[in-house]
Amino acid sequence: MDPVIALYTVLLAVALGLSGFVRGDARRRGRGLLLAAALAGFMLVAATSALVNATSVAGMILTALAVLFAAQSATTAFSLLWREICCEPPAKTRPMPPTHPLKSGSLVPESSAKSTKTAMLP
Amino acid sequence: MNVGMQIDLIGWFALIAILAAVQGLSGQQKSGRAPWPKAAVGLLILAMGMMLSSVLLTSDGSNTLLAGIMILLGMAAAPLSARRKDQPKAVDEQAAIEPEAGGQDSILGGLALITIGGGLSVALLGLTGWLETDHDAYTWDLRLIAVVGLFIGVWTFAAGLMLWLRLNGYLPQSTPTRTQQRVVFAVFTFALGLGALAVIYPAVASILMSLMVILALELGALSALSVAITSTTRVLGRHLGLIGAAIAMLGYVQASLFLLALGGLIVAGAVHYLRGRVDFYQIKTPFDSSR
Repeated sequence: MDPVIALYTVLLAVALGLSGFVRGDARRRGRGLLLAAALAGFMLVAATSALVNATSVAGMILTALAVLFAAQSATTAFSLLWREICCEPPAKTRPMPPTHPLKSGSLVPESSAKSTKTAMLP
Repeated sequence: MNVGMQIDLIGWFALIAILAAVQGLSGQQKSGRAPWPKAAVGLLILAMGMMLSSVLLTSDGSNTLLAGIMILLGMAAAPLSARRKDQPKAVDEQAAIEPEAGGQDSILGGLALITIGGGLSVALLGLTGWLETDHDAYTWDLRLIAVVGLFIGVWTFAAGLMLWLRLNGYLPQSTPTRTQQRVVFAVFTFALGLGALAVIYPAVASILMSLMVILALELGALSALSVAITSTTRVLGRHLGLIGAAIAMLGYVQASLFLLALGGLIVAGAVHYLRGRVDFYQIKTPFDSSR
């Protein structure tokens, strides 16, 4: 394959993905992370293609194991994504994202953690 | 790598289905909900089925049965890694502070297992690519992709394994230090240097690649241990992005525009998670409890 065509295709896909994936609400980012994991499950297609075209015994064994792990990974990703969708509350009861500033990368609102810590002190 | 999947009409339809599914899952209505999330997951599964069918049905049939068995075995093993954990094993200070942290650990543990499986798969495909490539001067790009794939796969596998062990309380909590990060950078640079030498000098590549794999294992362990446990999603996002890059490289080797475009989409999706806060609807946070 022509490397220039490959590079253009990847760049276009990255630009499309950057505009398509959600960036706002933290909870929707969680779903987006699972969506990226589910898309990474398409590694199974590449692994299966490598297996059906394997020419040596060593290649066949290695690619068969690759297919096994890729199938496990893809099914797990789809399962977690489906569970996340089923857990989304209805629109009326959907919690709004917190308005106070959060520490970057934190899984728990800082103020909530601090208040819980204070409450646990003797 | 002597594989050579040419993209056909099915691949374009699958790509359209995937793009529609991304829109259905990440778009937003006025109510704040995604437009049609369940149908979007159905579209993703349909796209996966279409691509697998096209790959299996267009092959010569010699390994089709083996491929089908392996796919079924992998799917059967998945519920073990996606199960919901009711009683978290990790009883540390953070779990005592957050009553719902076990659920968060559970879903992050599932994502760590996904990176373990994806990393192993990428590493095995990279190794296959190295074994099945002629070591001539004009195949340097295929050798480079095989070595980079092996490096990414082993690094992702080790990082996912270490994260899973940390999230399940099998490893002690550690505080990242500046020295750890310097060591990570040094190991990363040294491993990349060895990989480059393996591409340039294929005659001595076995030793160089063995050393690179050992360093990649160490790099994965160090990079997963040298971050705070609250930054787990950053590490997972980084390695999902690396898997996306590996898929794009496989697309180049297999002459598949479908895999190239999909790899780019995954890299773009993973970029968002390198910074900021990530929550899940499956997890009830203290913020929700207070409402």
